[in-house]
Amino acid sequence: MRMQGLKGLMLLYLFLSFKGYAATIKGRIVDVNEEAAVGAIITLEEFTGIHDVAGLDGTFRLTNVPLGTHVVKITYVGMKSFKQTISVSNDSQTITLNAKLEYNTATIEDVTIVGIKDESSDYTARKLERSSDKIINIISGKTIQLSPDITVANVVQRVSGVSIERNNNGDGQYAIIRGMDKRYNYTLVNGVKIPSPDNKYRYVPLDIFPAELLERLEVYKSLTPNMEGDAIGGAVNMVMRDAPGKFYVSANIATGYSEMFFDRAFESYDQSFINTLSPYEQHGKTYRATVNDFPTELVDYKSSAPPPNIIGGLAIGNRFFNKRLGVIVAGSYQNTYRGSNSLFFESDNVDTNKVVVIKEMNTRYYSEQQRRLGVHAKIDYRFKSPRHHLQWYNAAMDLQNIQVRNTTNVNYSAGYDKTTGDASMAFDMRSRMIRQKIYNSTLQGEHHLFSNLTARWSAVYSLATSQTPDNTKLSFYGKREDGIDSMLFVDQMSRRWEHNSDQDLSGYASLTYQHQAGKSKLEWEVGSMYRQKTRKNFYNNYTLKTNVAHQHDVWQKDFTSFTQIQWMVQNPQGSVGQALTYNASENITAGYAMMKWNVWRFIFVAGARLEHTNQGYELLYPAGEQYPIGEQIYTDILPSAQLKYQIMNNHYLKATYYKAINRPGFFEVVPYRVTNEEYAERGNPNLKRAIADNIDLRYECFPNPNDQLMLGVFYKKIKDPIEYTLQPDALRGQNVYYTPGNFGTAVNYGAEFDMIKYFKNFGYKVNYTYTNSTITTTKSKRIRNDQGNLELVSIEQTRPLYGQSNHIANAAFLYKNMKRGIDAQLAFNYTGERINTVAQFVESDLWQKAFIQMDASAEKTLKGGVTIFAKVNNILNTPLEVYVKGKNPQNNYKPEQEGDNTLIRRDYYQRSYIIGVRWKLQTT
Amino acid sequence: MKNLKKMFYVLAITGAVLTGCKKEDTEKKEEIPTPTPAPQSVSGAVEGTWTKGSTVNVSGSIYVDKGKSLKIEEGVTVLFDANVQPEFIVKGNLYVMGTAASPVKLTVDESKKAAAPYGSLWGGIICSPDVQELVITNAIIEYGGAATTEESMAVKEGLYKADEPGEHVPAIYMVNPNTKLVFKGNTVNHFAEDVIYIEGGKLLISNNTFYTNGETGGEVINLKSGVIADVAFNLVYSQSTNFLKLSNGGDKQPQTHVVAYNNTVVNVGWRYAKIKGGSVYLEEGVRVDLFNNLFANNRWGIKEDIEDGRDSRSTIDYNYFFGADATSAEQFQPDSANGILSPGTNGILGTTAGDKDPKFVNFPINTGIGKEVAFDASWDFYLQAGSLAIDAGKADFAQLHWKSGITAGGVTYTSPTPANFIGAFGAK
Repeated sequence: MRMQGLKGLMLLYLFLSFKGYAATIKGRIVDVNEEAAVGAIITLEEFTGIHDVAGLDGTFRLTNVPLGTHVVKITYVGMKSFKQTISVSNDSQTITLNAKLEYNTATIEDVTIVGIKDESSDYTARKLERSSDKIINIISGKTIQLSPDITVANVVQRVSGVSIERNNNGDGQYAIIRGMDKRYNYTLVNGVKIPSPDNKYRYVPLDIFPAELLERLEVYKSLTPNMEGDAIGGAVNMVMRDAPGKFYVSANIATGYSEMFFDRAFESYDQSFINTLSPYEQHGKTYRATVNDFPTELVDYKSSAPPPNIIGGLAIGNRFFNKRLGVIVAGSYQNTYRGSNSLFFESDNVDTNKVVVIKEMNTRYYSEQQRRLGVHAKIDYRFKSPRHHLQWYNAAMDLQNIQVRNTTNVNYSAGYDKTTGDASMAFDMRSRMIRQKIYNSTLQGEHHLFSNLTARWSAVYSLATSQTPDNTKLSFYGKREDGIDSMLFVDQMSRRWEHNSDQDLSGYASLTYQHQAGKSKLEWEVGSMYRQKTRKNFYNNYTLKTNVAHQHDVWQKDFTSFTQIQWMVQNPQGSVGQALTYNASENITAGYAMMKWNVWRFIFVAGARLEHTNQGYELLYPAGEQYPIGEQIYTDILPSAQLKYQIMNNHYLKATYYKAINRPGFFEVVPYRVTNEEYAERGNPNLKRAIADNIDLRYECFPNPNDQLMLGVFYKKIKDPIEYTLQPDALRGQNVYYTPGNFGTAVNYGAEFDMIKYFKNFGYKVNYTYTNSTITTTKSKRIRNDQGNLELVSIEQTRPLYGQSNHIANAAFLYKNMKRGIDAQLAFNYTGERINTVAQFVESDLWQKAFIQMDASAEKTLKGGVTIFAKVNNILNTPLEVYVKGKNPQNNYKPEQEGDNTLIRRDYYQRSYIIGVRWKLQTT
Repeated sequence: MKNLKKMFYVLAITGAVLTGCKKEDTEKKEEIPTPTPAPQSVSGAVEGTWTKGSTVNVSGSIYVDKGKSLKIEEGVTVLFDANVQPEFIVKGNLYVMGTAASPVKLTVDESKKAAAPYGSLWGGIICSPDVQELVITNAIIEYGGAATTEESMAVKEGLYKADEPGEHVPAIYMVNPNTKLVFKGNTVNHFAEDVIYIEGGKLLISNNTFYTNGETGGEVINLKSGVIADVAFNLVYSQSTNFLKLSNGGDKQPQTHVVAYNNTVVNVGWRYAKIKGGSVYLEEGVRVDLFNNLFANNRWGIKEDIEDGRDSRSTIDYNYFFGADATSAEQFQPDSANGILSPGTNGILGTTAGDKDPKFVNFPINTGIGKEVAFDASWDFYLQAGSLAIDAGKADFAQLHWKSGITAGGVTYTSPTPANFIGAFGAK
């Protein structure tokens, strides 16, 4: 009773005091460029308790200002402090104060000499977008830090027109830019192309890069002649953190957990028993392996709750010798435990049925430990007169995926009792460790030879490797009886070694000359590039079967541990996979010339690039191929033109045209053969590169430094696009091969909308892309011929490009309270329906269902440069679903087949949580 | 050295041909006795004729080149070097012409056999798509089926599962739907996996004996799309998996159509515990006509993929299922969940252990079911008087592919006339 009374009193007092000091001072702070001075501190000199921080749009509001005369003080990094006297005469008064800050001259020199701009800010990102002649979208380091994403792959999906292809943990892996599959895009680190650890293709898995090493992420959607010409979709450039202007340390440590393991255990094995080299490599090719060469520890599984995830990062940077020498070293370590539960139906085209028949159902439980280590170091030196600048960049990325896949298979083809659910089953356990590494070392120089002549060069060494040693798969068969699944007998075990490496040596050089001609500013640039690539692949597989005497040994009766199984080696000399053991090379020589002409409100960039390609391969174990060694040599001239028109201040119109190519993958031209159950797969030495004409038109508006509005349309015409289809052999028509080929001309067009808008404490970023593409390829169709016999005929089918969604949208809602140091965001990603796999049979393509993913993150800055943060990924636990359109009544009784389509795959990844603390020390 | 041997060999053939001409001239064909030639050693390209009664040591993989032929006459013993595990590649034509009295042997040194119950001591006969015809009659083919390595000729030339070496090869492999195979009167034993694996061809497989093949898997006859076959009067004992595994997978032309009749299949399917093991397995729209086949003591009878089974025009009738013990008898019972088909409305089905014994003349039908693997030459699968199989067959069905014959090597071979009993052997 008494307490309540007190509370009432306090409320009254608060009300009164509020009433007494109701005057408000509000306004907007801009810098000398009329851009919002985000983060400027506004105080009343006599009442330090009354203060505010300028919001995202530069606005502030001081409330409860007492009556009287006050000095309003505005301070902002790099700017002269601003003071103004204001008198408040009325309680309900609202005074408007707009201020324009000026540079602190001492700082401005620093800016020009060593460039201590915060290159990771949103502000820089927008500024670069605005000043670029290309069609470009940028995500700033600051945005990445605030975002829920911890790998680059997840960051890239926030860019308009970009969707991602996920790995089996639900993490993003590859970017699909404007509906163009990963093969049509390339990846750069600081503008330099890097090789891929993939054993077949060129594209680089983006999940190998920890997001926190980035200063910003750039996505180019048009090319200029000084960029490599093989990006029809676009290019992803990771700009890594640069040396800071002064001593800087930042560290963060976080922990997290995947909700997956609230519900089930994490399975693991001791990967220290993995032999990096196969018996064949250890002892020579005549060696006959015995069971002792295959440690049983790899099938000795443990089930437990995984330890919490650990994510940590450290960056230290400084400048020495009068700020001429800059050094930054940054490292990131992530040790995370991920999982997914996957349902996968195996299906076949039966007789002349239009829709596939489900024959088996696989339930797969993945448990994966990912160890991701990224280290990069950058040293730069600026000579006394700022005419020469050298920098040496080194980066090493290392991703280890240690995975257990536990599969349960129910067979509907035989032994399935529709009434009781009793079934014949198969089980398998797979222990797989993939280690991918990318190393890059780039030495770059910039020389201002004369006031208007600049030379730039780069010397690059890169190495990408991937190893999958002793990939172990152990299979059993068994049964489901009365709802209980039981393993009975051992089927077999395979032990497989795969490794590959891809090494690049490249050199780049360019000369830029600028001059003024009347009212025009002209810039001429010529350059050249050479890259030598060598690539090696190795594959070896051993099959082990149970000893005949133990073939009918029953699990839990005759043996109780997988390590007790009695094996015999089926192929003691191993099988060096003919197809996957090859060397490949690629030498690219390029030269370009371009000019930039700036007159009145126009900037016109035009030029051409010449690329000479010599791509070759050598099969190390030829198997009767007509061309066990081969090469492709060709030259392309790739013109490009960009026109930028400034409609008015901060409003631009851009029109671009460029020609680009898409080279065949290293493996695609190798005439390998891989025999599958239903058809054989093979490479195509005659595969041609695809050539595309790309047109873009974009309107861009930057109402203030942080906001933007972009509207654009694009059109791409791709000649000889590369797609996989089933084709009969030219000589032996009865042999049908699944092979890459060139298919006429494909068209891809669309429209984009991208908007970023900040209010004082709120902001949103939305983008939407509509894409439409068509390609016509040959498909199989099974018919009954005149004799009533089954016959396979080929028919043409028109469909969208593989991977292209008609609709892609992103939305992020941001909350920012500078005063309280709180940042929060909720991000949504919508990816429309798209083809996941192109099928052999007509109208049997596998489609991925449209989905919405929701992620959130929040952070609060405390005193002393300490920030605490939290991230939640996949809040909706969005599944990945793949289906074939239409139904076959034969599937009606099978589980999960109630919908209008035939479900092929459904994966759940569950929510994952991260909570952590970041500490930043920046000397002033 | 090899070349020298080759030269000798070429000379020998030339000699033989010349003598042949002489024979014609003198018109005294029958009179000339064939001398027994000295053993020869071969490796690499082979062609011409390996004359009657000779021994040929195969010291490395051999091949009959495109457009060439090799004829192996009666009584020839071809000994594959078990230490080298040579393969027998055919890109041209092959004629193995044994006689019942004097069969051709494709085998290994006797001393190597005991340690290798499932062979793998030499490859198999692997045909390239160029082969036109293969005639193998009255031959004993044994102890082969070695696993390929990346050094194997079958792999290097891309002929047999070349993308991933390490697979055991069958005794016979063919790939082109136009290749003809006449396989008659042979005995094949102790192969590692499949005996005859065909991905396209015109086949006549009759009057053969297949026993103790397939260590832990493998069929007697494994067919994919692009095959037309008559399979008749064969005896199968202790195959690991199936007698017939038939599929139209791969969609080659023509649709695979197999007419199998009057075969006796005993004690098979027990060395393979998975669902496709049994007597006959049908899948992916294969078309079959199965008549007069006798299945005794097997793991399952005629079985099909219940989601993707046989062509609807297929006929299965007049077959005989017998199990001497409960396990075996039970597995023959038609069961739609497992896709186990009935022997046909006119067929004979033993419903319990020992029910409807076919009464073989000499075979211990109640022992060793699923366990015994050794084949005893003294067994006799003819039928005793009173066997239910006698007169229970259908002799007048019209589906035979080679009723009017398949011509290979200048000889026309016709499919044997269906008998009115069930099984490969009638009443004694």
